[in-house]
Amino acid sequence: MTIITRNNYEEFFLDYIEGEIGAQDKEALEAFLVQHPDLKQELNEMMGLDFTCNATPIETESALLKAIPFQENFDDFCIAHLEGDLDTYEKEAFERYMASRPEKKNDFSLYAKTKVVANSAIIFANKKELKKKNKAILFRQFVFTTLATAASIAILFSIWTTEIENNPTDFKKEQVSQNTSMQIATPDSIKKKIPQNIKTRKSPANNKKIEKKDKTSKSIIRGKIQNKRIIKTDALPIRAEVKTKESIDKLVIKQLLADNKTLAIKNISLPETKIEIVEKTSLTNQQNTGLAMLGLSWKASKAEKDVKDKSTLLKIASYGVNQIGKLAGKKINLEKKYDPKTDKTRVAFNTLGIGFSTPVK
Amino acid sequence: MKLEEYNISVDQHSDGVFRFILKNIKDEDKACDIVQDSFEKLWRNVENVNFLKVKSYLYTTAYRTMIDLIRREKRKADFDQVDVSAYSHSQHYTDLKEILDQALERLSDIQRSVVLLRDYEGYNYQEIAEITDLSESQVKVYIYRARKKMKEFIGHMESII
Repeated sequence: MTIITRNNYEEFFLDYIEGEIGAQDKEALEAFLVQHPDLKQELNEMMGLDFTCNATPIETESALLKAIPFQENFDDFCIAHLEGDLDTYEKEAFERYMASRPEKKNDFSLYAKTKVVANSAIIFANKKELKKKNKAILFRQFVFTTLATAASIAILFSIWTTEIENNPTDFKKEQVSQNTSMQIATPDSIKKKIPQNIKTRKSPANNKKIEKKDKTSKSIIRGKIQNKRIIKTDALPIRAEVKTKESIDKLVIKQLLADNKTLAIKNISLPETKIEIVEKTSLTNQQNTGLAMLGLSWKASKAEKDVKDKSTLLKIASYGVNQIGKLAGKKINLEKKYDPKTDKTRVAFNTLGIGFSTPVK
Repeated sequence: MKLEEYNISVDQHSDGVFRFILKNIKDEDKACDIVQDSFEKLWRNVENVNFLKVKSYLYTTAYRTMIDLIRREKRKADFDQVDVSAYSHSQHYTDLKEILDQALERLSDIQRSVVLLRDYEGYNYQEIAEITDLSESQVKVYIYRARKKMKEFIGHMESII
């Protein structure tokens, strides 16, 4: 911005009078006028001037017109006429000259054709990309989106919690059934689940010990199963799968202990193995993520019917999330995707600003 | 200049700047890039640009960006450029618009620019001088010379057709 001084104030005065002065310049000018009251008076005088002029008839027969050298500089006068550079007298005189010289009309019309006209059909298509949005609006949109996302998550988990509260027993049963395909809880179940090459022996006492002897080996491995269940590996989420592996290791390397139960296992490579399985019936220490507990990907351990029940829960949650998305005017997705490359199923939650996914298998 | 005024400037001037650049360089993608660059520069200086003078600012920025581009490309093409237009056949031109386009292409870059600024946007000599960084008298001379060249070309083509 140019600083107003006594040497350049006229320029600002003219802009001010013509209404073309910017807001900053106007403030600067007003401050300048306060400091220089004599110039304020000059400005008032300038504003009072009447710049309009009355048209006066042109004396076309004046001798002055004859002095204009149209003949020598005909091209220049044609262009000057085209560009509007001729003053009133010159223009009038030139037009009279042209009227008296019909042979010159062709040249004059050729100059008129050199005027280029813009093609208004050509437009710049990417105006939207050029335009800017207010930061405050963007921030508000971001906050609103974030709140909508939070609300979606809250609804999702409230649906899940309500489901548990409404059917705690069923949920527990489903949870156990989906996590436990082979459970060593009683001698009968052991008999059913353990392959036939394992021989089960019950002690008469309350202690249930399982002993396994082999003639080729004399070593005895003892260990404890910390988990109450032996779980199919293909029926669990990752965390449960790791736990299962640990359990199996303990089975092989150590002795299996079960509460008051002993299993005598035959026909394995170890000559003599004592397995003790300690059975714990508590279900409170299960390790599963909330989304995994929704049962979204535990289809391998469940019957078709159970899978449908869990899919219904997912549908309800997805519906809730979609409704929130519609209210917020945003696209919010909750969907389950299977990735054949990693052989994992993921539950993905996506919206503007926040997105996460959890592997469930 | 405020945000709203900037967006109004986009609506009011982007088409004109685009047409002006496109007519000069005949390359739609490059013309788009130049327009975008010009508005980006305007946005970066939005605080310092007066809304009343934004049109001049945009044309000045676009013109200078275009001149830089033309100079860069001329350097590349100096050794293998052939003036194809010199061999063009007159029968290719069917109407005045095409002839006029050819006449424009035969002008020098600076002559073409000043003529387009004059005809497309109706700028006066002083405004064109500010945009092109020339003096008023230089602008006037360029325009007059350009008109004469164009008139000669159009007259020549019309006589052939």
